[in-house]
Amino acid sequence: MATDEELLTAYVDGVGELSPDERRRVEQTLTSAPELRAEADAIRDVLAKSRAIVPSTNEPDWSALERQIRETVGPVVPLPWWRRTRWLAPVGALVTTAAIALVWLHHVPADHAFTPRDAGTLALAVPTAPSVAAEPPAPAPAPTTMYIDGQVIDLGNVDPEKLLIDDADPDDTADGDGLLPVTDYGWVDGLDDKAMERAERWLARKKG
Amino acid sequence: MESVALAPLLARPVTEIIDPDRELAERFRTGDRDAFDQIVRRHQKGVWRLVRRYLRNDADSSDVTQQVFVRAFKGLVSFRGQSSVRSWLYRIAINCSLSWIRDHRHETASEIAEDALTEAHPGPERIAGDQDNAQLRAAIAQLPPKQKLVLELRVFDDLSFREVAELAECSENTAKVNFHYAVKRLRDILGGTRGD
Repeated sequence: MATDEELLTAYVDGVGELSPDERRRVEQTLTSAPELRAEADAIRDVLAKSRAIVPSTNEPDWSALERQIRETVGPVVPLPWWRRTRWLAPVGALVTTAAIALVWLHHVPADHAFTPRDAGTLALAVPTAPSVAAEPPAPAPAPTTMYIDGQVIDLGNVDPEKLLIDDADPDDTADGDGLLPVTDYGWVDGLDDKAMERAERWLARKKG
Repeated sequence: MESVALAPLLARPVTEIIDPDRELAERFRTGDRDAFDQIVRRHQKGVWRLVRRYLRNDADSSDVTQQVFVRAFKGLVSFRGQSSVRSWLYRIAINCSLSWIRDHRHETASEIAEDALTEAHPGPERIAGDQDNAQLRAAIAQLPPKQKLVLELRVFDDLSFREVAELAECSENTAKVNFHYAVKRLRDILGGTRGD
């Protein structure tokens, strides 16, 4: 905090720029210490002399300088950066959406865990079986995708034929060439009773 | 009584910021190109003199002044009005001057010498008042950098303490205190010179 004396010059030069408290303090000091009035006069004198210093330079032609500035900056008011780059928002959104769509289409999650929440409508998407006319070695079976309630369940590289129920053999069980290979039954443990019941009903319908 | 005479001044709110350029800045932001010309007209002298104090060379000061306004033209649309337009311009001027000095470090010494020579041989019409001027200039040159900056901004550029504080990068209170010691020191130096 400035002392009263330190504020004296600011008081002399710009009393309006002091806070009411600062002004009160300096005025009280001036009242109680009359010698400071002479000090204030001396300050006023130095400031007046300083302001009267004649610039020792040859100032330029102001009109010419103004004209030069006008020509250099040009006639068009520049746009602020946020308006110059506002096209970035829709383009960015578009690019992001496209990127998400691409990832979604080309990188189906390989380790998606089936949860009870996923139980519901069960559907199998079986790709077209590879042509049997092809000569050996036979191509590896295409990945089979299973959807449950819109969620993708990865079954690995399973021959889609293995997933089909042989309607001609009513004794066929899931342990053999039935609906799903035995190794992929782990997700069944995650089903709650209600979902299991629905799945069983669906299987029964399919079998029947 | 002094307090009676000061009454109108005392009535001014201390925190009030009156910036006569704010309206021009607003107009410029809305696309009024002429508003910028008015800002140039109002401030080119002040900017040039401030730059001149750093560069001590008339021609280069004009170039740097032009640079200052080119930067201001680009930046004024984003100016948020946290300071006055004038102190914002002066801040650009100080930055441009310091940058110019950095870039021309090797040339500066010879140019200053040339400039000093010009000032050492003033025309006969200037001799009369020059003795006091020279003493004062010499005294100001001896001030510590911060005090010198504060004094020059206040006395030669006629800035408020708030603006001085912004440009000197200190509090308003510190600016007032620095101003006090700058003037005190000037008095001491001048008193000593006169006493010799």
